[in-house]
Amino acid sequence: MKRGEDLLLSSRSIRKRMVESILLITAIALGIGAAGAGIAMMAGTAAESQKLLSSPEYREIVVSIREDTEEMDLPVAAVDDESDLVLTTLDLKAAEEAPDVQYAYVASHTIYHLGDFRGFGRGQPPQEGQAAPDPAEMPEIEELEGYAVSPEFFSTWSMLAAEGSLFTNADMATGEPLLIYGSELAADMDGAVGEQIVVEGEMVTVIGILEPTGTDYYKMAFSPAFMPDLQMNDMRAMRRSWGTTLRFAVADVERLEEAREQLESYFSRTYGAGSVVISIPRAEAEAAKVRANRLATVVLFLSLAGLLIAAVNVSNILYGRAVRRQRSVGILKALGASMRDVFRLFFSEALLLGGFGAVLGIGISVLLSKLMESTLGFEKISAGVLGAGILGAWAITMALTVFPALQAARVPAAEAIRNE
Amino acid sequence: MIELKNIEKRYDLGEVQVKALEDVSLHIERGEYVAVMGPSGSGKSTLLNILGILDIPTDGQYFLEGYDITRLPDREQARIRNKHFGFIFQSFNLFSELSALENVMLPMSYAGMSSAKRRERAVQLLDEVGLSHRLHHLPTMLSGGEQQRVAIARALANQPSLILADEPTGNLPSDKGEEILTIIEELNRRGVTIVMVTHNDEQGLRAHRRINIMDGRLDGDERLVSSRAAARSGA
Repeated sequence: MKRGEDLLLSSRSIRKRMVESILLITAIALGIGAAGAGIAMMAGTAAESQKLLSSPEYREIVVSIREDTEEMDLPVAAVDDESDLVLTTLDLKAAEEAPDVQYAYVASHTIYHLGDFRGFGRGQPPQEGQAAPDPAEMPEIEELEGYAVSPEFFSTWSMLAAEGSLFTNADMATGEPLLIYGSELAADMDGAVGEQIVVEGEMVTVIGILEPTGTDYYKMAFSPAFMPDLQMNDMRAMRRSWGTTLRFAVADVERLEEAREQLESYFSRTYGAGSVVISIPRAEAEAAKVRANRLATVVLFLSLAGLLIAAVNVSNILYGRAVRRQRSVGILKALGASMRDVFRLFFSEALLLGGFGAVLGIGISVLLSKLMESTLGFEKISAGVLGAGILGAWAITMALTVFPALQAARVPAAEAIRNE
Repeated sequence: MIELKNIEKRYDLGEVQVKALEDVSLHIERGEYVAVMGPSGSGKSTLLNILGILDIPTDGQYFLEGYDITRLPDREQARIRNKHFGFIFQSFNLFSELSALENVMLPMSYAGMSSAKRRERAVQLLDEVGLSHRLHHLPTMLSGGEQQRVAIARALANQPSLILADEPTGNLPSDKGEEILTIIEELNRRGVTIVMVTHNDEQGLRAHRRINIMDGRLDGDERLVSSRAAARSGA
């Protein structure tokens, strides 16, 4: 029998049993859609974890004296609140005593408050003879998020200036208030190189705008980290330095723990045991990766279970359909159909239903993938992975339709004709 | 043309074994018009199914044109059914989702005929049975007599040498049944061998040979008129 007749009979059969066919197509679509999305989520999670852990940040050891875990977003042990220790760029020399450390820099998370708040408890106190301003007249605070960094930060993250320039050690030594905008921040603020803005009452000069970085740094501002030769009684400098975070990166992540021990040895010897918090962000990221992978595995399991349930139901309904059509099978055999012809006819029908279901399933998978991209922050999910997932799910569904087609083909002709 | 030797057909129903046919031997010549008669459950339809290789005997041998076709591979059986046999059933057994034309074209597709030739021949066959005005009607839009005529056209699609008819007029009023019998007898006059199962004595007497089946055994084989003589009278 030619394919044309198979398709003709299959399409007529589908049309004749329209409600049942719609249910079958829906089941196939949901199964394929769920499985495709589950596989995409698994792949997306794995890719995202890999990308996350390949970030320079996760080859680093962070040294700080702060215990503000929320602000630092790091797991730290409690430290001595009474400590008056201030970390500076000078402490980067710890790297010299830690052979596993490849490079070191300062990157302290900072919030820059724009405007002049002197007299409102921010910036400098009111000058002598000047009346204290009315708190009701305090201007609205606009904040910029960013980091106080040493120049090595930019080279470590491969950041380049799209406009203007980056800090140098010489810039930092002057103690001049300077600022660099991330690319999106500059666009948002309509900022330009050379402009001056007031940050907590201090005039700050913007010296550069970064090229887009592909990280969250594109929406942040950067100022020079505190230099040790500045006067410690300079309140602004003190405040800036209070949260100084030193970062030490290793070339080989397997050596993170060794490097941490080397640094701990240096800081214990220099400032006393327990005076600084030394943490490894990678440990937390790896734990998060394990959690995310487990969650994705559960979702994948549920989606594959959904696929299997849908496929088994499709197979079951098609089997019922084959049983109801035994008489037709008998007639076909009487007219000259072989078992192979009958199998091909029933499988063609399953393929046709599977084709419609797959088209809908692709739609569902793509929609769910887009949802994942937007809500889970995944990068664009690979069409190849999604396609392979959909193809695999479709193949599983179709494999289960072989059984009813075989059953239909194997019914003896005389027995099939006797069945009404 | 056909020779059955000691055919037996048994069905295993759990612990019970039912003999549907027992030691049936018969010879059917080309061009014969044979009526197979007997009470319900006597084994008539089983015999017809074995003749049409829709069923396989438990024992015995089946020769077609001198070849033992008792146990052939499925594809070969299908080929013989398609090329050499035509089936006419009591309840017509047309595909309700296909038009009269498509029903008639169907067996030709298994014979590998091109679409254009199938259509041409199906139109011709439906014209011969007086249904040229019903080509695109679905079976549900046709009367019982018309449906059986479509079934006859379908049975003739690949120019079979043997027509196996299982009570072809059983579901039809007498006038329509007469029309169908007339068509079948006309086919026989053209040289097609007819084996027809019937309950109807009158129809049985119109055949050239009457075989009686009783409890699965051959109970009588009566030649009413020689096939050669019948063919001559037809000519």
